[in-house]
Amino acid sequence: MTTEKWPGVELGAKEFYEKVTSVRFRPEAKFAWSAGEAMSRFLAELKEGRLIARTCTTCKRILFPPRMFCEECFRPTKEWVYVKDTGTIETYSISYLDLDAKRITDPIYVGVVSVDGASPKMGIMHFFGEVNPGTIKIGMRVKAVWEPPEKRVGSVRDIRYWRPLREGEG
Amino acid sequence: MKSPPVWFSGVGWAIDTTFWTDRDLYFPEYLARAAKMAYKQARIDDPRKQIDFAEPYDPFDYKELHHMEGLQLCKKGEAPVLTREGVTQRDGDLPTCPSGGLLGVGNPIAATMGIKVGELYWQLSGQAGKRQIPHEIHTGVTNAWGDLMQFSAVAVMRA
Repeated sequence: MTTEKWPGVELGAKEFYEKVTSVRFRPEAKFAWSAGEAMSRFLAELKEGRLIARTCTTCKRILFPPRMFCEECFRPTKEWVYVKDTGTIETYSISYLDLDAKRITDPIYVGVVSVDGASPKMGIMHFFGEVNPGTIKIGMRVKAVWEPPEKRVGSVRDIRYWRPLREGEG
Repeated sequence: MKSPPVWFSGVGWAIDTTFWTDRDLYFPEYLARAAKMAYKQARIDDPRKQIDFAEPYDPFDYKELHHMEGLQLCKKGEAPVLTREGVTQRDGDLPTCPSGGLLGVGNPIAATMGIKVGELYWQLSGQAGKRQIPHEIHTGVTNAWGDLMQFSAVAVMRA
């Protein structure tokens, strides 16, 4: 993906070990983290290929991602409700840097997608795919592309990315 | 006292939800509310006319524009136009970031509003040297921004 046309000298693992002063250290950084009631259920449902939200009886919103309290009303939320795996692009960025901050020519698309079935603007940050810089748009209707069931682990990455809705869908 | 005193005439703050993917990212409502609180205390009802210059928090290019609009110094979508037309230059009608902005002075996270308040003080007391706004100024505003793109504090200062 990277090419010689960018200025500067790219350092690889070899250079880091041989030419640049480096220290090797393996910390014993073990930890456990509880995702909490709402997020745990959200992640478990992702593994099943479903998106779930919580309802607030006071403001009548359907909150996504789900949470056990409503931050508008300061009240506990009430019920679980499934939402759809289709939605709308609310905002996006086209990144020509990859996750290691290396320059790439085939960009990554990230942004916020609000999901159908939840209250307006309720969304998550995710990747977009099957788009190009000329076609991706705010307001574009999209659908989740899921990992196959055996590959899902209970993570937001169980959705690979969101692709444009095809004719006749949603 | 050698230089005339500069007073804090209004402060305000507001925080929005941490669920940033659930809200409007275009207009910083939390900043508008923080500004409203500060303006009320400073007895400012028309910031566009009553504020002479501003030091909005500008850790990224777009944030200066974003915060100008949140501070009610211009209408939604108007900040880029004012910037392009030179209104925000030191000798413009609304000098914005006469300090040169954070690209010039650095961005110590959580402490940056200190330098911004400092710039309001230096400008209002006529001690900004080469950065001094060339025309008469009486009131300046600055803001901080942080947490998960959800919090702002605002200070209005007067000479």
